[in-house]
Amino acid sequence: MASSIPVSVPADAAGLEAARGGRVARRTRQLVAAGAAFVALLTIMAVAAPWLAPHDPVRQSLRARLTAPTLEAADGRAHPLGTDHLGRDVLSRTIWGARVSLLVGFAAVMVGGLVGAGLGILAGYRGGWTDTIIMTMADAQLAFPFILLAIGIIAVLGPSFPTLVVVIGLSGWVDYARVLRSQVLVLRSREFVDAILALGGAVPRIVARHILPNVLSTLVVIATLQLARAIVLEATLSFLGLGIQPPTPSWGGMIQEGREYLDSAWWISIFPGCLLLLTSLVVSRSGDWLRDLLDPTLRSE
Amino acid sequence: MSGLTRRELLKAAGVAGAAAALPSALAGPAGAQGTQKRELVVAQGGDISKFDPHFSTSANDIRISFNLFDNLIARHPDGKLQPSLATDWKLTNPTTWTFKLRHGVKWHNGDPFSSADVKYSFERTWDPKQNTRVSTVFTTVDKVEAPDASTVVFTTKKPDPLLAARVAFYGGQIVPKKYLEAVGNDTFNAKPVGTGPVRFVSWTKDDKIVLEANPDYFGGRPDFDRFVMRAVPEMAPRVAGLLKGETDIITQLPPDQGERVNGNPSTRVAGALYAGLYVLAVNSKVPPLDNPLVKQALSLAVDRDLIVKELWRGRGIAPSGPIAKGDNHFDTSLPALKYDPKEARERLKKSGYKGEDIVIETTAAYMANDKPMAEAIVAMWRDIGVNGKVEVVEYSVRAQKNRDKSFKGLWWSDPTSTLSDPDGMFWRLLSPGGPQDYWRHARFDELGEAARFSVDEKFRGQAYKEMTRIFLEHLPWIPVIQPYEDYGLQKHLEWTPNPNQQFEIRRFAFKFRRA
Repeated sequence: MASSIPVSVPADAAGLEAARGGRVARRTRQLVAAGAAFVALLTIMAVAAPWLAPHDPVRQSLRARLTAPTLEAADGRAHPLGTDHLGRDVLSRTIWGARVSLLVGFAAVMVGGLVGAGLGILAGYRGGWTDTIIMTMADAQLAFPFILLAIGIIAVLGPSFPTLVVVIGLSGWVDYARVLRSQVLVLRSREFVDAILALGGAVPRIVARHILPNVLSTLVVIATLQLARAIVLEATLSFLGLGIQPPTPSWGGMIQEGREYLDSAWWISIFPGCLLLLTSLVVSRSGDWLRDLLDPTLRSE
Repeated sequence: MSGLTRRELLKAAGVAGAAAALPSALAGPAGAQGTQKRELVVAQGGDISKFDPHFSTSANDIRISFNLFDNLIARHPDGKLQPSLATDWKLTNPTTWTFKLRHGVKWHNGDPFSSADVKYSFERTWDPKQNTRVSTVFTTVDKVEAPDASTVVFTTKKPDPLLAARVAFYGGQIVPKKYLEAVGNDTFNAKPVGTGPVRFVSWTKDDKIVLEANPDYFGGRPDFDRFVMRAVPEMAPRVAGLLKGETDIITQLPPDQGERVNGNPSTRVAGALYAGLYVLAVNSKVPPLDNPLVKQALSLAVDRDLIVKELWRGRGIAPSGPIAKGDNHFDTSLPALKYDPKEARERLKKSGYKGEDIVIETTAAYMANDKPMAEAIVAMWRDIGVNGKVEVVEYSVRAQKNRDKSFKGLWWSDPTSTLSDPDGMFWRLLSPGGPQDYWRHARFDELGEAARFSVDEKFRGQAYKEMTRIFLEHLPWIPVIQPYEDYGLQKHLEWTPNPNQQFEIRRFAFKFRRA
């Protein structure tokens, strides 16, 4: 993920390239807007789940279990996406599942972003021992298979929403830290930082007012990419039974529950699976497009 | 070459090819279509851990060890005790049992079998230096003597009505004294030698075990040349393998797959009513589960018929108490546990329940349908106003909690009736100091102890009746279902599954149907 750093480049780009860049930028901007619209739509779906979902997502109807997508099931209700092994409505569960995915996703990004950006800026600005210690920690974490660590932590602490958010959040701090450190390293040796220091500016103020705004775009790009990762990781842990506990619906949990019925009741896993695929694809591509958009190489106007 | 047409050449090549392919066809699944089928291929849900019958009692392991080895007495699929290595046994006085052994039996390595092997085997189970997994099976036995080569005499500490049943199940397999003393436990486990219908050939860890028929078996040569047991942990490939004809029998067939197996023209489902129950065990020490009224309400709120009909597709029955159907002293006049949400609500109100969390700690797929049943039951509890919760725990966590007795509320247990008798079932688990000792009741304990050591079956029957009444009031378990254990098998074989997880491939239980 270190490849997502916006690279600064000499500003003497030729006019021809600038014109091409303009077209690319316009298209990229549209793509980013489309991605953002998708996430907004998903957020609305998650927030409005109680009104959008046709049924209670945890209400069981054993008599109508494993019903294929239908408008008139054995329990006299419509199940446009079918029912699962306990007769719960797959459509309603998929809609409610978006809540868990987005909530865990955003919360985990916040946790990871705060910790990662804080440590990254600290390492970059202070240098020396602080830098060495923080970067050694980062390397240590990267060297360790994270899923294994997550399983260990959750098995000990027991699965709960806060544990899940912290574990997923902390799994991503290294990405923020490494990228921000390198950017801050460059920024702090620039003349304007020296000038403020010479004028008697305090370090916290320099970081908050002059360094942070300069790395904000990078931060946003990493956060977007991390969001996709967090959503998939939540699904993975729920799939393994370590995430959101039943009967609360989550996409990963639904995929897991439907796994046994893939050949007889495919609809249980397929719908949440497709939505998960689409969400992670759109969000991570949007991150890439956003990076392109913020990349000075392509900045024309 | 001149007179030979292309077609003749191809035909000749085909014959040669078929001849070359023949040995592998006999050994492989391709032989399945013919009537010359000489290989039995079985797929089960996991690999074995040990061949040594005294060092494992897990379901996967005993499917093999009960066929490599013999017991003195065998429990047949109909539940009856039949002669095996012993041809005859009798109670000579309340604490003495005399067994007459079969003549002319040989171990797989050619050594003769004798009473010395029997004495050695039983003493090995409780020898503290051996530290076997079956050390508590024969705690009622004082000593085993071998007065001559074909007689064995058991002396029990107190009268033991179930000695014959104990001898017939795990712990009771007879191992070869001479071979074991010569090679030691490790080599014995790697190259097991028994008296059973199959002999060891090879074991490839996490893949398969190959065994061959014992032509000299006293019960008749089994109806195959080779028996291959495959380890296929995932359900989907296990079922697919059966439908494609690659395997002859698969174990642990989930009820939802029965239709597919029966719908396939060449396969069918065979099941045996599980010799045991699936229960929600209760930690009766934690409030509010220390209150019998709360437990009664929880039990009354469970719609067992619906669970059996929908989640199990009818493959099970609703239990009536702590004794499994098919066991001694099962009371046929007792009705199945009642579903009455109205009464449940009333008892809950009377109990003074204040909305505390009541947690089922369920495993996922350790027992068939464990998690779906837990979720369905919690939904039923919520309907009567109980704050039920499901927490999914790993199997290893469950094992740990079982050892520490640290369950939060309820958890799944699948007590097996090892002796076809309540003593080996609920009393084994719920007795003082037993693995599920979370609740005590003076009269219950007194009766359980008396019934264990009485040879008067009438008295025992009365005792278990009264214990059942106490059980139903206090509910140290909430029995949910007595399921069928289903297997999928090819229609070209005849086989009757055992209810107690023994996998019987001896001549009387298994044969290929040949045209």
